[in-house]
Amino acid sequence: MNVNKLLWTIIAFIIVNIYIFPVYWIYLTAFKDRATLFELPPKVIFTPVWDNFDELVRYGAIQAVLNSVIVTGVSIAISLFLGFLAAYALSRYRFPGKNLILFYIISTRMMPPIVFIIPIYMMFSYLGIKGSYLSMILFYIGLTLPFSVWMTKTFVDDVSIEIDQAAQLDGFTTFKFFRKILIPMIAPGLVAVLVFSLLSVWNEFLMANILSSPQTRPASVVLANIRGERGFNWGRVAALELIYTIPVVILIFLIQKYLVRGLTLGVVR
Amino acid sequence: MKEGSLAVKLENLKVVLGNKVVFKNLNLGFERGKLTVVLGPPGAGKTTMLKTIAGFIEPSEGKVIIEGKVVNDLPPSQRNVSMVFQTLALYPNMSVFENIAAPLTAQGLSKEEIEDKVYGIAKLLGITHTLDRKPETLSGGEYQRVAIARCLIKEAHVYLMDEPFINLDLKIRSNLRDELKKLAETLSKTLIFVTPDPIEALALGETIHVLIGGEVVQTGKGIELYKMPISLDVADYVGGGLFNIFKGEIIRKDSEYFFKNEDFIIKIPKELLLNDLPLNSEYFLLIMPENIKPRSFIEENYQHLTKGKAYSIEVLGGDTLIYYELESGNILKSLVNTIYRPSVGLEEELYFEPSEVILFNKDKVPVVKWNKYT
Amino acid sequence: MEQVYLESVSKRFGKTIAVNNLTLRVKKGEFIVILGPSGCGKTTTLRIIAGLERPDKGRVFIAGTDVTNIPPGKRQVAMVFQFYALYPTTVFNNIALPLKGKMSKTELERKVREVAKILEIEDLLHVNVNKLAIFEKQKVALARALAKEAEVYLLDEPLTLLDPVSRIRMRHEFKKIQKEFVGTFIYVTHDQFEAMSLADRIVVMNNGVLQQEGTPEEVYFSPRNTFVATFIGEPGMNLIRAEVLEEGEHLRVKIGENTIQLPAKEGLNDNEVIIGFRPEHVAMGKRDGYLLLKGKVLFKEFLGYRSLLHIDLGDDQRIIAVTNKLSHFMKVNKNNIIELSIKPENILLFSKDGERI
Repeated sequence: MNVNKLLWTIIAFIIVNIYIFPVYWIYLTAFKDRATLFELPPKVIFTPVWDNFDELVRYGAIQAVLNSVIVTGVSIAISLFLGFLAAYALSRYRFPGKNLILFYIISTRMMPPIVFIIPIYMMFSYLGIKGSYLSMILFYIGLTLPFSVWMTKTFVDDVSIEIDQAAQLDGFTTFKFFRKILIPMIAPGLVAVLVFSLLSVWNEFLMANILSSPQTRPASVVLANIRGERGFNWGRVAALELIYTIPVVILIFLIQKYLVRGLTLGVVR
Repeated sequence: MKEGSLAVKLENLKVVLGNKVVFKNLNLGFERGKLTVVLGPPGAGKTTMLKTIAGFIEPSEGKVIIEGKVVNDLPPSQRNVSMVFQTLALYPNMSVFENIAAPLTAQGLSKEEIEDKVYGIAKLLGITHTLDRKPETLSGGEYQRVAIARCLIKEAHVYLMDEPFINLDLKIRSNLRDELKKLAETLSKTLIFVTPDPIEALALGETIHVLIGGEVVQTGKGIELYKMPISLDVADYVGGGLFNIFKGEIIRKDSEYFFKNEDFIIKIPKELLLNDLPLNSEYFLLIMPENIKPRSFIEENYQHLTKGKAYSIEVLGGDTLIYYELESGNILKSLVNTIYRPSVGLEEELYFEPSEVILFNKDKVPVVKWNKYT
Repeated sequence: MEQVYLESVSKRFGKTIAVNNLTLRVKKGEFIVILGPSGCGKTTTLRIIAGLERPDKGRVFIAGTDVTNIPPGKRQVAMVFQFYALYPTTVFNNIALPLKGKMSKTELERKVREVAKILEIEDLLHVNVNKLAIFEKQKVALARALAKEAEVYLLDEPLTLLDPVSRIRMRHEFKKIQKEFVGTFIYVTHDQFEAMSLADRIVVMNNGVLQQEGTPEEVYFSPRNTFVATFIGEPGMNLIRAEVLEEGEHLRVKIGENTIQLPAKEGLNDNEVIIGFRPEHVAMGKRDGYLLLKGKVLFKEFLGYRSLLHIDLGDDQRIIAVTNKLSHFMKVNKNNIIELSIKPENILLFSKDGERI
């Protein structure tokens, strides 16, 4: 029995490492100076240097990552909030045109984002907001909201309406009910929505590139441009990537308990 | 029933759900301080009735009156009702204590008052040991008790219970029923208990309204419904499907009436009948399984009925229900008061108690006199 | 020789002992029901026989062969679960699948039709299973097991997921199968009515321990301990504490104010004893030579074909009397003080710890 467990643990360890390895390598690379970078065979043990990070700070990388955090954070927060409210209404209430609205919401995601470039660019230019945080935030809300509504709705649907009714009888106002009962009940689901939205927005390049200005451009854009420079300074690229991953890693650590529950919740019926 | 003694009154109620008319014109009153049972098959409108009283469903016509006040325009939170839902609906992220306390926290009671009341009702229901736990860790019986505690803890004009004991073991059910009856008495609250299970309704005693197809077809105590059903449909339902119902005709011979069908001919004692029976008509004869026995179990007054082949049994505690196939292919059920397991295929002579049969005419209305059972 | 023999089988999961030193013998052709509350070890026992669990201690024999280390596929057992687990194809294919390759095509067809006939699903043979009602699906699962011609058929609460009406229909089916099909069956359930109705013999388990095995009449009228006495029957057996006054030629015990003489029993070395009797053995009024009890009526319950009387004997002891004759309880009302008699032959004795004497 123990040999079995050991075997499986080793296999799991190997699989995890295959996935983690690229990330690990990048982190390592971030601390290498130009010389160590190109050594063959690649060095795993070496003297780490902070040069790459220094250069980045001067280059404005911190600002870039900050921009990513701001744009992603605000848009996802709003998207989740509105998504929840819409999901609740669509789940609980009956009104004419409901099915039409549901379909409409989902249909917006059936089109590849590239289709939106020109119309959005033109609209936002006209509104004078091109280049501001607002433009990116608005776009990302539009991008993530449909999925947020749809997925949150399935979680709200799973909560029996009699819980709402019990809460009504117990004297809970709607928002108190949300805060104390409904949201805690679907928390794992909301976290899953959060993560999926995060994936769509954090790394998004296409629209961010078009809609941002040099002050507001997020790390995804900076990362692309950093490669356009004369010569590839992989050390610097790696360093930026390292900083870029930090906010996400922090977030995942905070929500990991909910994450596993949320991702498997909808699957097992 | 005196008007003044009604805690809840439904007047000319019309309720439509989707495109189904659940209640056409319902008039029903519930006495204050008593446990009233509403019994009916699934789809009869029991849950709809409770939710209309609570305010989750709006009637298209008619009035819902609680303690003398018309509450049609009031939302559920303002009607002063309490409810146990079919799904029980405990808040999974709160502890048992918080769940039970929930109705009180919104009312703004002090922390000590809330604690007192929660402990009080938890003690009554025997769940003090669960107060710190989360609902998902509770057993079926405990879960149900918590739901009931949450319902009963607040002061309300009426307590609505929607099949709260469904899915529980028989033994736990009878314990919970006893506790509920005791509670209703000691606290003298107005309870409306809804169930599709006739045995549960009978066990709860008290006044039972039989609701079939959106109409109250009979009201009475359990024993009245069982022994003096107002129609064949009520009899069949209250009997839990166990009653033997035979279709046949009435013939007359030597000034005596006989019920005849493909399996037997039996005499109907004149003393039992209300009036003369028209012939050339369809009749239904109801004989309860406990009034049919195989030869080895018969008692005084039993008369021969027919012959049957045993094909299955149901042991019900200390009694056995035996299923017999008659020559015609019809099925007959007999109940004996011990554990009896005839081998499959055994042919036996079957006897019945003639004074306990109920004869219904073609309109499914009983045509026999009732013995007094109260 | 037994068809199935479990020799001192034990199994634990972590800290819980699921099956505790169980020895069980099943004869060929018997329909055995393992009965007990949830968590009593009945399903684990079944899975050990099937080979889905390995016992920590003890051995399993099927048709004389030690199969303890033989995987389930090679044990010649067929199993039916709560959840029918059918393949998305026709009824015929579902039944035929386990038989493919083991016999000729004509043999296979004959076999399938044979079991389909017993279960009355012949006209469904070419219907796709997803069109069937739940109890019909369960019949197909059953047919599939029966077609396998196994040494023993194992059924794990197969009727639990069915609605009450279908459940009764399926129980009739089992009765029919018992008559028309030769096979050894081990059936697990927590529903005592199901067990009493279907079994040739019942095996009662609690907390992993075998409580009693016997015919339905034996476990009902002659329970071996207080667990079986209260578990079997609805309501369970009445159990009341009594004080032993005198032992020897006769046994004299005192309950409340009343003293009774009972035939002497071996093995009673205590000053307290538990007296048991079935609710239907309680008669109204006083009778010579009977155990007399006096108590207050708590309440009456009318349940259709029977009526119950709940009586308080004082000293925190309550009993229930049951009758099928409504007239017996007619004159009794709540809070009345009444006298009750029990025939000595219907009285069982248990020691303080619940063992039958």
